[in-house]
Amino acid sequence: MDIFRISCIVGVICNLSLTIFLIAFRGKKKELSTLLFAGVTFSSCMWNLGAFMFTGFPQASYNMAFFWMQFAYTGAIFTAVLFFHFIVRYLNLNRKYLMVLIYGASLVCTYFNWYDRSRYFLGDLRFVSKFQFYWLDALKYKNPLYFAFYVSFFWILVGYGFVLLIQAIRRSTGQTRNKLKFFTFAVAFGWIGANPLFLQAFRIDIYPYANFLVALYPLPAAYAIIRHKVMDIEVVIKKTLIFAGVFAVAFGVFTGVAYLGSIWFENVIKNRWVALVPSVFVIVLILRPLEKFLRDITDKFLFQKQYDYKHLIKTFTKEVLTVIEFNDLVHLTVNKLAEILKLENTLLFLYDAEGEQYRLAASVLEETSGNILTVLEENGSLTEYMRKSREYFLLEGTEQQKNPPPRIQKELQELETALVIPLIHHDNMVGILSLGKKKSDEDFTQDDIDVLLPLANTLSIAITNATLFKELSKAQARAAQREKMAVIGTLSAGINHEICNPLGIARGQCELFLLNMAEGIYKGKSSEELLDKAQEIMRKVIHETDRATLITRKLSSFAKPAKGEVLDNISLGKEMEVVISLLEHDLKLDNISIIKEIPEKLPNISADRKQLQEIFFNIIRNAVQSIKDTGKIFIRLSSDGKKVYVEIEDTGEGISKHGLNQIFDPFFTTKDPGEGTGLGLYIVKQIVEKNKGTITVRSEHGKGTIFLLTFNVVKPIEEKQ
Amino acid sequence: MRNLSILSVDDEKKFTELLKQYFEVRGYDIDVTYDGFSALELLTRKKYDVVLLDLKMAGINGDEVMRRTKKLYPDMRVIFISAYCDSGKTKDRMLEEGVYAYVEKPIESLKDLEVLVNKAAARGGLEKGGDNAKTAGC
Repeated sequence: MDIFRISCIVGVICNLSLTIFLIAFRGKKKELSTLLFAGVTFSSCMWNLGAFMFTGFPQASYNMAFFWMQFAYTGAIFTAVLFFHFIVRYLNLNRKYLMVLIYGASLVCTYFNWYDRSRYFLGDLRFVSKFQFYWLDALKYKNPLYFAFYVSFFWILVGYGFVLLIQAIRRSTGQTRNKLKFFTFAVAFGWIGANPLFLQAFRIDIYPYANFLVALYPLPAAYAIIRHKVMDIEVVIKKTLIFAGVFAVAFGVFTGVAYLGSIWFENVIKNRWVALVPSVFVIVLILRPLEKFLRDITDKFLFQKQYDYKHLIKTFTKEVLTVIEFNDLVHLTVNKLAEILKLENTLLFLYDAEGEQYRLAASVLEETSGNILTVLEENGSLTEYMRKSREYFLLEGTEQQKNPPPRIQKELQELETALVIPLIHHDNMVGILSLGKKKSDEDFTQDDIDVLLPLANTLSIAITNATLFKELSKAQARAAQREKMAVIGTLSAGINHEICNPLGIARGQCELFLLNMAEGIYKGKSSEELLDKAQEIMRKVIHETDRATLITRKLSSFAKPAKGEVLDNISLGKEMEVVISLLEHDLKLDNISIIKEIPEKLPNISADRKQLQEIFFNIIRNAVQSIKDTGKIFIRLSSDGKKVYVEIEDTGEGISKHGLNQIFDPFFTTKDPGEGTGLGLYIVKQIVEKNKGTITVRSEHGKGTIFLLTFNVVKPIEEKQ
Repeated sequence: MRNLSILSVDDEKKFTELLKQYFEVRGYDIDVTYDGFSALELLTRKKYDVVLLDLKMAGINGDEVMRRTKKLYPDMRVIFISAYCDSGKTKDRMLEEGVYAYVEKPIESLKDLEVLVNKAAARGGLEKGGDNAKTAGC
């Protein structure tokens, strides 16, 4: 078959498919321009069909060839007219009279095309012996309408159409510009191919290879339409494409296997129908992987954007937004955005309440002039505007009114940004996300923005959470510090007593000796007696200073801040004794007796020694405080081999049911103002849990309270070691 | 002239021992006891010129002892000697309740304490007097 005729078949298939596609998937708006473009492709299809036919006849079938020539040229006439109309419509231009004129002219052309074999339009055919098929002979009668059509429609109309398109490209920015660029490129492809097809009419017999361009231009056009949403097309075609692909391949394989199989089976078992069995088997095997393969291919090439979005959203929801640690969150956010969207620079500004400004919290700068802003003043024009408008800015612009007012253009330029999105949580603008240009130099599309805006919203929430978490951690540290101070306060009263007494006694003994000497009270005593006296006093002094030293040792071992958590094998009984010994004196003074049931042999637990002491101290102190007059505190330790149980019971006032529910809440206190911060038990619970223990409380108002703590025993193997 | 009588109450035995050693050789009648109950017992039997009281004690606290004593002998001089330190709050409260002086442990000087005791006794109506007494700081 002729190469030209092959190009015609391809042209028919491509153009007809695009026509059907455009009509079938016209968007909700039912834009006339989409229909007009469908008209263009349909006319183009007519040309190809006609051309296929008229080149198929031998020299004898002049009449048939002439009919198909008429058919083909009908298509040719309307291709140009509809194309021009499409451009006018698409660009929303007003060319009413011109359009009437053009349609009038095209009708005249069509009329003379079909009316008779007039010398006005087609005139005559000539059999081009070099190609072995008929072609139009425009020179024989110098057909005036054909010349008019050729010159005006193809050179002026189409040329003018392209001028309009290029003008529109120049005027437009951003997304629109992209759309038009691609589309113009795609159709130019077809029109360039169309022009050499006139040469043969003027007896310049160059083989019409150029028709391939006419045949194939629907492919780039379709690509532009889908990829850049040039027309109002609903993208439901993905499935169609996959289905078509699956169908084509499956059908091909099925037929192939069936055909080859039938030959083989014919020869072997004389029954060709058995071939269906392996065919079906093969199809069943390849169907799923094939579908997946095709979906991936279409996703990757045709819907590359959507593919990236999926990746973006997946990364964000799984990896980024779940991060609670503030610094990690902001850096991950920026890095991932830059990486996935392939941006030249990405900046994240976050509100800093102290400085009343938005500070650069994280950035990725790959291509930049180097003088990027790091601080946006709270009342700067950009921040002010964004806070009020709550709108994003697309610097390259779109068809929508998202262009920033000129006064903030400068600031935006200094950010070297292409897209600025405010991060808004409730009513606060917590930050500003500034995305630089894409490395591909493509502009941000509406699709980008549709994905990025909700992402920014979620990001605002994540950032707010992380900020709160950071503040909470700080507050907790402060609270723990306050609580420590309270502990020291309680201790110091007792400690003071324990230190002041021995010091006073030691000092008093020395002073007594000196005064007695000075006042002559020792007069008459032998030097030996005096020496004995002095020795006795010194022993007393040493004893008392030792007492004071001991208590300071205990205190320092208790209050020394732990460097991080140090997990130790700990004997709960020993730690409990340390704490009790610190409080014992106070307890005695307060008429509280401690009744200990601490077995000598208890399995060790793994915990932080200091934290454990803190827990016991807090609970016992609470018990002491709950006892108004006299009372008892029972401390029982026990173990079942797997766990160690600590029970601390007091005969104090107990806690009301209401209070019991809130007992572990921060700032809950039943004590008088100034006596407790209400953080003790809150911190106790946290520390217990940190050391993998549990704490529960039972209490009866007026009778007392029991705290039950459990800790896991260190594994027996470790214990043996 | 009879000797000044002093009662020292403190659960810190060695401290009362120290006071006893000091005051006895200097011609004072000093009794010591280690808790609130026995102090009250002694006080019901005998009126002392000056009572030196510890504040925090097991059983009955110093302030309780003081209040009961005041009921028995409204004009009796009570001096607190205590290590209880809460930035002066208790001290002020005690002084308001009619305590003669509040000395914080460790006492700075036995000599000063003696002066204070004499001064207190003088105010209590006896002729023996002292000069400006100094109360020690915490």
